[in-house]
Amino acid sequence: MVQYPELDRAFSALADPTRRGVLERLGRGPATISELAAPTGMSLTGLKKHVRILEQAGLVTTEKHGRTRHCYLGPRRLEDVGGWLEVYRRTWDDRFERLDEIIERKKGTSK
Amino acid sequence: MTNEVHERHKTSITTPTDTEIRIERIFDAPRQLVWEAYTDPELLPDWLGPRELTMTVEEFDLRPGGSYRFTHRDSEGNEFVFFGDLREVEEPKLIVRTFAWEGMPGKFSVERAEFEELDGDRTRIVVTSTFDSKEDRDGMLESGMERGVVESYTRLDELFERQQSG
Repeated sequence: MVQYPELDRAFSALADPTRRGVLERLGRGPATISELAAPTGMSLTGLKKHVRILEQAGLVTTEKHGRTRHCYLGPRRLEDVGGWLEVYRRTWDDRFERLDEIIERKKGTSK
Repeated sequence: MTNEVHERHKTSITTPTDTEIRIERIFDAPRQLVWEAYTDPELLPDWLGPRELTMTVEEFDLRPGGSYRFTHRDSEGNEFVFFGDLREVEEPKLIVRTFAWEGMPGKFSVERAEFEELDGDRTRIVVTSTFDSKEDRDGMLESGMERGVVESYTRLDELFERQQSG
């Protein structure tokens, strides 16, 4: 099986609704940490942790301007790494894994 | 549980054309058994529904001309309804159905599920979804609508709307 460590990092970054929200928001344009935190009701420190995870996954870039930190999308775009297709594949992989369990159970009972 | 080591097969995905997505996977069971597991309405919520949502099979009339309707409900009571018509049903080898989401009125894809008999009592399932255009296909992929991600995006959109109007 082919391994995609970068994709894995991106997917675990995406597993959280707050972080998906940050990406959704940044898709509409750059924002500061406090602008990102405002709609979530989260503390600046709490939101910074989420931004750091996105940054490590390459999904977000930040730049310090004076005392404020500006956040941007990228450098990696999910589309660039075939991301959406891989998300879709994993969805089906998960479904088929569960179907496989059902089939194995059925096999057990029909023997 | 048995002591047999059961090999986990890989799900592969390809885009044969600009308007199609093709998914395939092998199962270690005879075709009839795979068909029965795949088409049992009582079992559908156990494998087809997103893990984070509760799936209800409102209707599942598996015959040509029949229709189906599934509701996915999140913990806050939001509902996402998927529905379509069965175009071809040939037990135990073929199901062709339309697939639509209430959240995207007028848009639907055609999903063709083929069950192929392989050596050694194995079966390959090939699911090919065909969209009206590349934009529709990519839009569906990007929206994550099939994945249950949709509910968090819907809530976010509401959030942004409130923010913009406030």
